[in-house]
Amino acid sequence: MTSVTRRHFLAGSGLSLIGASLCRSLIAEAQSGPPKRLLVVHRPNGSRGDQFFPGGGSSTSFQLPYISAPFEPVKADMVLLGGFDVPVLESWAFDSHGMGIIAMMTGTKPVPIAGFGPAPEDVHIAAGGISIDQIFAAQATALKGNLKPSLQLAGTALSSSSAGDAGPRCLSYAGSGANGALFPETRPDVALANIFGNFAPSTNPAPTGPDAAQSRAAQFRKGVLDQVAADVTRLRARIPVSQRPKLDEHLMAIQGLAAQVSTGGSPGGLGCGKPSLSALVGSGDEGVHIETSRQMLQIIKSSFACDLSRIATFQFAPALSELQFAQVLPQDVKLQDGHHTISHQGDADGISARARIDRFYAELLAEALLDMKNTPDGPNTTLLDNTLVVYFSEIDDGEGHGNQNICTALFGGKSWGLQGGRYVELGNRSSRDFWSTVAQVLSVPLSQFGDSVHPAMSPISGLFA
Amino acid sequence: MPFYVQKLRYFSPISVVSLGAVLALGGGGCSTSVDTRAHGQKNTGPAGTVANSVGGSSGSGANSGILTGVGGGAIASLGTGGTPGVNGTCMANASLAQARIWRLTDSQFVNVVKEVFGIAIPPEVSGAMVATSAINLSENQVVTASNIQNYENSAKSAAGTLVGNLAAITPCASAAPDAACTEQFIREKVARAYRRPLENDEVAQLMALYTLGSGESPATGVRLVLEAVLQSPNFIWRTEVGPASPSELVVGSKVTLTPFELAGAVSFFLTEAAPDDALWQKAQDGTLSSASVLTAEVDRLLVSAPTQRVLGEDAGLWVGLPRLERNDKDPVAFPTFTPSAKAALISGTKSFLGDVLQRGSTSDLLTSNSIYLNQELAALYGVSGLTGDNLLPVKVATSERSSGLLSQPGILTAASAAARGDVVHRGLFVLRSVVCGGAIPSPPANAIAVAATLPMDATEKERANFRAGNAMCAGCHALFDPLGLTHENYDAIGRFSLNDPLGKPIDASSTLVGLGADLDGPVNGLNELASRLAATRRPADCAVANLASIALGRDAKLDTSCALQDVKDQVVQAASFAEFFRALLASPAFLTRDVQ
Repeated sequence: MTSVTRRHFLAGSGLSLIGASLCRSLIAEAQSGPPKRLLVVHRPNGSRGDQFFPGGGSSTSFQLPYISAPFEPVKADMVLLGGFDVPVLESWAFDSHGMGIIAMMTGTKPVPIAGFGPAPEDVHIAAGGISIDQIFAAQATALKGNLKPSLQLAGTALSSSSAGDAGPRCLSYAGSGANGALFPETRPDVALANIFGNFAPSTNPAPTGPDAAQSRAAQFRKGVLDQVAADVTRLRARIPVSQRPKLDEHLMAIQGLAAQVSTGGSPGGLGCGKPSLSALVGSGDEGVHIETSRQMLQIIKSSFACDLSRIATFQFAPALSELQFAQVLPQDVKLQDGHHTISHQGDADGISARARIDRFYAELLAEALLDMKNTPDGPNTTLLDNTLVVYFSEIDDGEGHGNQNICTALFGGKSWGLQGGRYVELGNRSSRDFWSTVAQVLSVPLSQFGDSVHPAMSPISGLFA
Repeated sequence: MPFYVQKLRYFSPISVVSLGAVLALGGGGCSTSVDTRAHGQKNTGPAGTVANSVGGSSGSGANSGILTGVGGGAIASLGTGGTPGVNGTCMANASLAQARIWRLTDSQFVNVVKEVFGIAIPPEVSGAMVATSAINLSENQVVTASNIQNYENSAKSAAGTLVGNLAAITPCASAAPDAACTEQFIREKVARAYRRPLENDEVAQLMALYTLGSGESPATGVRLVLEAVLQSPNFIWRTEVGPASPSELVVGSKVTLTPFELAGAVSFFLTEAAPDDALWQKAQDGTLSSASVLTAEVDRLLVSAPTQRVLGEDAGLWVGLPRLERNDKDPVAFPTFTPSAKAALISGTKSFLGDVLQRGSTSDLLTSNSIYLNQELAALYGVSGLTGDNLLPVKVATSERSSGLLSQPGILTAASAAARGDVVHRGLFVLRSVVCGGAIPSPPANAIAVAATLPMDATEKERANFRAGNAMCAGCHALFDPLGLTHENYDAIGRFSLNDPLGKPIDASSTLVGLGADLDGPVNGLNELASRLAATRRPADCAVANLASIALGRDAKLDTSCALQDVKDQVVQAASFAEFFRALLASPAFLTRDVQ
């Protein structure tokens, strides 16, 4: 199991955040064409394979069944991955949900973290090591050169799991344990402000002259942040060595904000524009969840288009989500229970209801994918062409709670060499093999990823050209 | 278990928790080990936490051990009949925590801003999930870029509000403070926010920010100062590193908390806020280093209203009350269990817990007949004579509410399913929350399929009998199902009944096994269970371990220090939880920190 953190990667490569931002223009110049982006999307509680996959083995000519049918408009940009497993050992006796996400994103055995309360489900877990998106954020040159090394967003924080339980709630980990968990932002307005700040895309009309008030505000902000950074450095020198990593992350984050002030915006791509979000007017938890998910996906798309970030993880809802879908579910299968409870229900009503929820998440993602497909990103290329989207759930099916044959799909990624319009039966290949394939495309040496108990990784041939 | 004592001496608490759980989970089964530490036999190593023992109970019987998970489904005896005070060792000369920085929770952040600057700010500060928990482990923290961005947003927003009312917060009562006034503000107010006096160069740096902004206006100058202060690590992180210079922070050495650090440690634990005027004064004049002054301050804060609320919130977590917040009842079976009843039940349970820990006797945990009710809850639980929405403590004359923690309707309801009581979770509650038994692994993947072979309408008793007869299930369930079966007279919302809906008498009998000689044996109903538990010191020791976890910012349930053992002994001897706060916070081992 790796104990290397994102910070160590940065330190090892000799790049601080500031350094990275200074290198940005050089990297951009060295690249030809629009940059690559990576988006990992998670939906909770699994799906039935027979309603997600066409069946019948690998094919380029297939009908999409009920759950995946909403992807029809982006079918040519889609690869359905059958036989896709997450690396979980039977002896790892943690809750399958959180463990499935951790296995997918980090390949590690979960570590229990503090949890209070009497039941096993009250035990919180986190990953045993760094997640793949953070490895790529630190090591993949093609995914660097942006203002925010990575984004972590989600469509809701509501869940039957505890707020501090990283396992079901976090896709991204900077390192092992609770200290490494990167909890996603669930408030669109905050996410927008944090990512875009005072960003003004250069494709907007040029300012008429130097804005003295803006310039002064930037000077003030820089002054405050420099003072905070000085405080962190001063305090760091006065605490035991064992405590200093806490402030290393703190200092890096402050320096990241200071870099924002220095560089202002980014040139942005052809489709760059800061999204204007309406208030969250959806009714009830369900309505707010749906609207939040839409807005978050819009923010990710815009931050990609404006090249503010090139890596994002998005979680529709935490694993074990118990959101009730009164609006989504048709009257004839409407159930009182929440999503997770329904996902366990094996009768006709349960199967029908959970398929409808899974299909609804597909509809939401398909909307965002179409938006990316319609967003120009350079001459003759779209944002979707340059973005590899990985769409997965943490278990195979709510009834089985297994770790094999996870309903997974890829989208976009044409510039990565991904040829869409395919259903590929992998024959039980691990997500570690998948990530090693992606690492190969990105020229990232991924000799060790995840728990050492797993077999050596082997890239999947034929997935990317 | 000397091996672990030696091997784990420098493990961080979180590492130990991990190892403990690994032991607990390995093999997927449940069995137990016995804590053989001796009270009185002292090991001279630093703070030790062993993975395979729980808080000592040197008095009346065997301890509950963490589960070592050797598999096979059999249950080893949890106790040998001997006392942990006989055979093992505790760790002497260990401080109760390491020298550290400890991040404020968001609620603490909000409280300090309110206390020092007099304004209420939105509760979302950093957006960090871990940091918003009332349980805030010092080594269980990280600041992400997103958190830091959120801190900046909160600081800007709060500073913007404050400069709108500068006359109220500056010593010169001016809306346009000059440099001298601002410097005085920094030395007085910012010091309270940082919980220590500022050094001269720190004042000078903040004054440089004032100068930068005052070119626009004096208010802008103060605004920049406030923005920097509210984002400063000096504000966001509590320090417990003593007065030593960096070169003196040698690994393996010990530091003594400064009076200001000690005041902060006491204050944040008891009130979730920075030291108030009286405590600050005693830190400033140095009198807090006197044990009698410190104890008097602890006593003063202990009886304050914030402390009752804080203790109730904290204890609510370890008894599993959050389960009730996210657990709705079947509206058809329980139409009178309204959202307002649920909210009142949660609030009333926290008040009960706060009362017991703040001023109760240790026996109140298992024998109190007090519950908090308002008119709606009184009607629900068959108590007459209450009107209005305000929750009031009521002594219930009948035996159905005379089992303290166990007969609290809020806890019974939390550990229940939507439509019926829940033997599993009620048993787990007693095992884990009342006697601090070790962690139980999640059910194996096929548990749902196995359970599905039972008829849908099987009773809790039938389900428990099924599990007892299935070796795979019994491996763990035999430890806690019998505890849960004693609760059978209480329905899904904690109402008592002698008969089931069909009029048949309810059988709440079971036989406890594997819990130790002091607990094992036939038992019938909740009152009998409570009496048996109350005859041991385990519940008091367990409550102390949980309280100590909050005070120390680490999981103290695995702690083997002599200092904590002494605290437990003092609490048992005084038979009062108030003694815990005096004993712990004035303990020499609390006043120092080990450098790691």
